[in-house]
Amino acid sequence: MTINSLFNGIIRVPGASFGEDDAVDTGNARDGLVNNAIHTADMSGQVRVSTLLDGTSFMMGVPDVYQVQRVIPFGPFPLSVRSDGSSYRLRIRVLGHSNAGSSVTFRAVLSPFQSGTPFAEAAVNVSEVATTSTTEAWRDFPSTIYLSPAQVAAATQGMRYPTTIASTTSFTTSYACLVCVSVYLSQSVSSEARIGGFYAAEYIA
Amino acid sequence: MSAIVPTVAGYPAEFFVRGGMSIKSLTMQDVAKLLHWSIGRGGQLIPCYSPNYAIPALRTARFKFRVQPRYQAYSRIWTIGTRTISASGSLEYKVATPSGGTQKTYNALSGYTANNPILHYHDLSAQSSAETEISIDIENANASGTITVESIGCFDVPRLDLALAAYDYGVDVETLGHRQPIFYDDDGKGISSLATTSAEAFGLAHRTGMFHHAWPIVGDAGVYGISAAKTVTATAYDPVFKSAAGATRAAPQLARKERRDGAAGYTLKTINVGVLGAVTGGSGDVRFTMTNGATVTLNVTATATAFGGTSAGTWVTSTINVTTEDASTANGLRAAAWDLATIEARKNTSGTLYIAGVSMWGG
Repeated sequence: MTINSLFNGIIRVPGASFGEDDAVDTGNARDGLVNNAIHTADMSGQVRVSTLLDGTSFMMGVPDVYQVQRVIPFGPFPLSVRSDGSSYRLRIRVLGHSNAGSSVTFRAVLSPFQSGTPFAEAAVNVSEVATTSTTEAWRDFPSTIYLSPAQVAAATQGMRYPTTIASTTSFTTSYACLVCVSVYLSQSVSSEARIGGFYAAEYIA
Repeated sequence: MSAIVPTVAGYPAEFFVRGGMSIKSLTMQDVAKLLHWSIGRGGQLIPCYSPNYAIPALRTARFKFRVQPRYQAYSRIWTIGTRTISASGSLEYKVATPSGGTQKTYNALSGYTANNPILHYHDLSAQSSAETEISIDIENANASGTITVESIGCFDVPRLDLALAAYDYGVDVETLGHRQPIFYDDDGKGISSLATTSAEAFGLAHRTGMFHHAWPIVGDAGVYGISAAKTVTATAYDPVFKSAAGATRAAPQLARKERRDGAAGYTLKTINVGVLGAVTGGSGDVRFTMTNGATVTLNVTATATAFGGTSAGTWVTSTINVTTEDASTANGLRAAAWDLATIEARKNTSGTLYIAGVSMWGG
């Protein structure tokens, strides 16, 4: 629930507002530069995961009960970071159901790429949703997930790219919070969890 | 003297810009850096999706997507999650981007939960923001055993700095500083260049990928067939994505909100849709329908027996309106409702419609 910009939208200012013979008007500077830059950043969240399975479902590879098992990781991808050091939030939902009516649980975990420490315990980077429904439907997780500033620091890695376009000899390194979002399942003795789709998109709030 | 791209989105102090007050150079520098952050950090071209396809031994799976890339990108990273079942503990696979390019070799680990994503760098030969097809080949060169591709994604490597002006739209942050001359030009210096970048930034910082699903085009020795493409023979619309039990599966969508509340069209944004298809004769239709009521039908007429080489299926593209994000809510939903994209297809007369890809981008 964060609207950082003054107008929560782009304000068009006349093209000549910053012309050669014009004084810089505070109204135009506030609306056309500051507000627009902030609103653009507020809306810059990327869709990181968006999948529908075609005719099949994800389920536990070995159908254990009462265990929490990672079924699939999506990513890695460079998670955007806010000015307070925490990450953009991920708006997540799962297309899932229980195959026989007993409770099953879907857990989404946001964790550093190849860290060996998936941060899978209850924290700001973890959310769960449970259902007994046998009808496949999109289920919203109760909260967005994100990384705390300390977790962002742990997940930040370098990526190389050419210093000039198409160079094969000169490279530099940029840094990003490189993460995966993984889907975990737990299920009961009489029901198995099924996943037909998953969605995760960045959000400023 | 550069147009730096910060790692973190720092926000300028809006309350410092008021009538009767001087506009501080630090505020303008913060505006420039935030604009650079929005347009220089890159986009997610392909949101991670699951083809969930097991590549047979000695076969290559080719995946194709329709995108509008960001001009600022110099390099992309493809992410691929695989697994296999092998007595040896792992199997090699080879990746080439674009398809047909130089291969690099990776390992798929054995086990149902062995998915261990890899990063595959693709340095671009030229900058471009033109709508185009991007593709990836994944080859199972082993004599036996399958390699299951569980996920594919692709994103731009963030830039450290941007070139001044031109199409990179970088602004030299130092030229906005205290005691610097006030430039009036568009070569990436001063407040007029900042205004130019500001006017372009929202369009440049688009959601490069909204939803993509490519069905593999499978072949060997450069000959790619249609055996793994989605096939449609029904003459009535049928969901492209559905469960084993036949339930329709639809993709959630939320686009960026451009206009302020109350302005015309502020609850909707036009995005792009595309389908890579071919028919054995006649034509086929692929219809996108949003929960908000918007709908568009793409008519596939290309006749092809393969989606690769010189005999390619054809992308058919159009646009559709998608509900915009509402930043006043906890998760961005407008009126607590998701806008879902239902994709259906039909073959207009007898024969087969083959679909190798559906793409939604530019939100």
